[in-house]
Amino acid sequence: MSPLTMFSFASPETIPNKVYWALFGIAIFAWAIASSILWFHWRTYGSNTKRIVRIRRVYLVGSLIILSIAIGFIFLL
Amino acid sequence: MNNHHIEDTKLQPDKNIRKLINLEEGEQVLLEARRHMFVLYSRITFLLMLLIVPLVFVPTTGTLINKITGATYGMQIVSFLFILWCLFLWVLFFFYWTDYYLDVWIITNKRIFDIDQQGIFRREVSVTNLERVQDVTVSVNGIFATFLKFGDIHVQTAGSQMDFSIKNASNPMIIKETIMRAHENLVNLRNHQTNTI
Repeated sequence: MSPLTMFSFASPETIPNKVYWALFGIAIFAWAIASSILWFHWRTYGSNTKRIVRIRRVYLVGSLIILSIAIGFIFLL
Repeated sequence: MNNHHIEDTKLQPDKNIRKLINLEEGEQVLLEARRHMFVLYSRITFLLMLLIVPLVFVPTTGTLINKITGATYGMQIVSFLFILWCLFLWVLFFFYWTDYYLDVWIITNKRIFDIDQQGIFRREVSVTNLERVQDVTVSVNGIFATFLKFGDIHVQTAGSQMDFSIKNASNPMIIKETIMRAHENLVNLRNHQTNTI
């Protein structure tokens, strides 16, 4: 038995979806913190200039696409 | 002096730029100067490397995990982690962009605002009166700087220990010209006002 298979989730067949959801949870938590820092800077120092508004949209759309891919990935497993 | 002198559209101030600073009465924004996009592009290249290099190793790592554990999920977990890695790089790009965008020089017909964004949690805003400007130095070093038209600008002010400089500024000669012309106009205006009195 290899050291990794000693863990319950590391059965040779599959990893439970819970593990993926946990990883996703950590990622979304970090994303939320990073986004709030960016938001604060864009709002406070960027003062909603045209470029800031545009870049905020791009950021949101891109992030949502990547997060959707991650969620889709978990559901398809 | 107005914005028609500035041929480069990138240097023309955003209509909302006045939201970033508090302008005095009769004060007009002449120019908005930032570091050259080359600075941002070099960071984007770094991010692309961080994206492409792991992509090459996804199949290898997946297979390796399968071999070590005797499992079949190696590829799945590595692919999933790669998606999360993409999210991290995406966020990192916007941190870089924010650092680039918020680091700006705003030149008005009365003052120079040097907003220095160093990373995310360090920010310095210095203001100097154009009348105090004594000397403007531009230095363009290297092949990229020469062909892509960017360089360092240093403004020497009277009686101030403050260092007014912007590194890798886009079109430094236009910025220098704008500062010198605005300085001249302001000094002429002051002289005219003194003579009239």
